Amino acid sequence: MKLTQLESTDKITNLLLSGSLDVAGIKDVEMDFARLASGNRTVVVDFSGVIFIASLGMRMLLSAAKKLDSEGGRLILHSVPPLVETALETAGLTKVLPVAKDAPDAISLSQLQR
Amino acid sequence: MGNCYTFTIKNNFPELEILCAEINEIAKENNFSEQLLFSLNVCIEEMLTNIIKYGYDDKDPHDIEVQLEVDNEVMILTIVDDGHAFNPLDADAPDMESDLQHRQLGGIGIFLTCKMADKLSYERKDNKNFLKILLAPHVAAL
Repeated sequence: MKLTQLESTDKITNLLLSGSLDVAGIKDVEMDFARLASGNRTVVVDFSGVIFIASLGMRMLLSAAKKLDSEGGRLILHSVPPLVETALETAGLTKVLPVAKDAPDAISLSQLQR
Repeated sequence: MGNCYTFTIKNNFPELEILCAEINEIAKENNFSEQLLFSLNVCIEEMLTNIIKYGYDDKDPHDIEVQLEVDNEVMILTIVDDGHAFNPLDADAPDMESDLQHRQLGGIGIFLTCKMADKLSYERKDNKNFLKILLAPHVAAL
């Protein structure tokens, strides 16, 4: 599992996650993810390379989203592969975690009023 | 004839990680579809995480047996543990409606497993939990 910080601005942090968000994968990224996904900023995560997620990975996303929300920021995922998106939907997470089609769509979502 | 794989792991996460890696090797050998592998990984991660985290009333090491029978993309996963009696089919429904700050993920793992599996059955015998999960993504009706 790999977490990469992409070109970012004052207001938007762009991250790229890739690999399997399973028991082993989460360990590789959870500390860095929690550190980068915080503050009064929009954190946009490119999920195109994520091949697996279950409740442990969802817990990591939800806790980052809650923290960002309480600090005036937000978490937006984009380019989520179909199997991963189905799992997020099944768990009811897409109701509280915005999922955008692609990077430009994520940026337009981030500009919407909350 | 299909293949049958049997594993015994201890109730800790490093052993679960090794099991997951072995399962992924088996998936390659047997050419599982991406969807089948995804569902199988969800079932294994969720059910074993539950057992490891909540299954025991003591802090001792315990054996968990995991058996995988594979036949033409129909798969039966059997998990046997000697923790306290727990039937995942009796678990409370998860919270799917609360807003972000109030959302909890308790019960989501079991819910996901039930959605991914084609059939789940539970039995308590000899002071052990027997959980059988059928995954048959290409079989219309069973």
